[in-house]
Amino acid sequence: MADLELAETMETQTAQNGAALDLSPPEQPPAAPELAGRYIFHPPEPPHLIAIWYSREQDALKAEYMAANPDAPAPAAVEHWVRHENGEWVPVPGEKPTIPQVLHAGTMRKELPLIGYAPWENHVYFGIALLFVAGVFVAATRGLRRDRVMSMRRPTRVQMFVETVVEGMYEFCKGVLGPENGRKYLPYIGTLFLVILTCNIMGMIPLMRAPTASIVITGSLAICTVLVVQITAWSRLGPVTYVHHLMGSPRDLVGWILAPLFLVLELISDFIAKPLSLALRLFGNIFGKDILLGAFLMMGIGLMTTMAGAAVGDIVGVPLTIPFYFLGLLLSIIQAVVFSLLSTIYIALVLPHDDHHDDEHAAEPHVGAAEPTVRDPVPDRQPL
Amino acid sequence: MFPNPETALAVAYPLCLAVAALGAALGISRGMAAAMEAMARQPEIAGKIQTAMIIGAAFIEALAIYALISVFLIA
Repeated sequence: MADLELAETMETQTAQNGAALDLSPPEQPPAAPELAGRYIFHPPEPPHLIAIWYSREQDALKAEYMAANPDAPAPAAVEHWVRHENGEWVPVPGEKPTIPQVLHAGTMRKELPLIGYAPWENHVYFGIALLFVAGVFVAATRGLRRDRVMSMRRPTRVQMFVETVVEGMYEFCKGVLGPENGRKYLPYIGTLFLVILTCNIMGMIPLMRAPTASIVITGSLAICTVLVVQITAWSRLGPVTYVHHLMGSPRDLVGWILAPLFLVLELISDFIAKPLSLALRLFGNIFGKDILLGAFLMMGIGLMTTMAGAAVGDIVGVPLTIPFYFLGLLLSIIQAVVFSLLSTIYIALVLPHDDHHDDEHAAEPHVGAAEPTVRDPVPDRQPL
Repeated sequence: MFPNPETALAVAYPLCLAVAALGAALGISRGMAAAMEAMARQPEIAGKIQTAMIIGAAFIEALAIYALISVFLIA
C-alpha cells in the first residue's frame, strides 16, 4: 500500500512538470526501500494506451512485484520504464506517449523512453494480416457459394475487386510459368503477395506494427518458398534428375569433373543464399521504411515546434510526413511484388524446361515480332 | 590522438551506407538505362524487359539493404 501511495505522489509531481519528452531519469530517485519507487502502476481507469505496450520485461517486473507484495491489488497497467546505462529499469511516471510512438508503434518504441517490443507481437499481427486476407476472400466468394449464376451475373463490389486482383496475378504467373504451371502455383504466389502487401502496409497504421519488419516473419516466408521450390523440383524432376540438376546438369567430361564443385555451390545457393537474400531484403526494406517514417515525423514535429511553438507544433508538424507515406506505400507494393516475383522465378528455374517452352509457345505466338525467334533447339537442361 | 570509438563509429556507419548506396545507384542506373533503351526500341516486349529489370534491380538493391541492416543491427 505504501508503494502505491508513493507512486501517486510521484505521478502528481511529474504531471506538474509537463508532458515534455524527457529522457533523463525522474527527479526523485527511487526511495530507500528497494521495491518502493520501482513499481508504479496506473489506475485501471481511464483505459490507457500503455496497456498495449506490455513487454516481457514488464511482465517479469509485475510478477516480481506481486511476489513481494502478496496483499496488494493486482496492478492494471504499468507505466513507462526507462532502461538506464547501468542496466536498471526505472519508471517514468505520468508521461504520455508521444505522437511518433503512437503513429509508429512498431519502430519508435526502441528509441524513445518506451522499452522494446514484445516478441509475440509480430506473430499476432501476422495472424491479423492472414485473417484479413482470408476474410476478404471469404466475403468475395459468398455470393459464389450461395448462387453461382447470380454471382456471375451481378457480382458484388468485393467480388469484382478480388476477381480483378486474382486475374492480374494469374496473368503474371502465366507469363512466367506458363498457363498450366501458372494455374498450379497461383494460390501460393498470390497468397504470398497479398499477405506480404497487407503486412507491409500494416506498419503505417497507427498503433500497429508491420510483421515483415521482423526477421523472424520474413525468414519463415522465405523458408516456405524454399520448401515449395524443393518439393516442386523433387516431384517434377524425379530424384535422379534432381541430383543431376544439383550437380549443374553435367553432360560432358568437364561437366562431370566440375560436378562436385557445382553440387556444393548449388546446395549453398538453394538452401542458404536464396532464402537469406529473400528474407533480408524484405526485412531491411520494411524496417527501414518504418524507421524512415518515424524519423521524418519526429523531424517534422521538432522543426514545427521550433518554428511555430510547442502549442501548434504537433498539429502543423504531423502532416509534413504525409508525402513519405506515399513513398512507403510504393515501397510496400514493390517489395511485395519483388518477393513473389523472385519466388516465381525460383520455381520456374527448377521446372523442367521443355514443357515450359511448349506452353509459352502455345500461349503467345509472339505477336509483333518481325521474324520468329529462333530458340535454342537443345534446352540446357533436359529431363533424363 | 585518436577519437574515441563511438565517434569513429558515428562517422563510419553513415559512410558505409553512403558507399553502399553509391554502388547500388551506379549499378541500378546502368541496368535501368539499358532496360529503358530496350523498351523504347522494342515496345512489344516491354513487359518482359520490365520484369527482368525489376529482378535485377531487386538483386542490386539487396546489397545496399545489407549495409542498411548491418548498420541497424550494430548501431
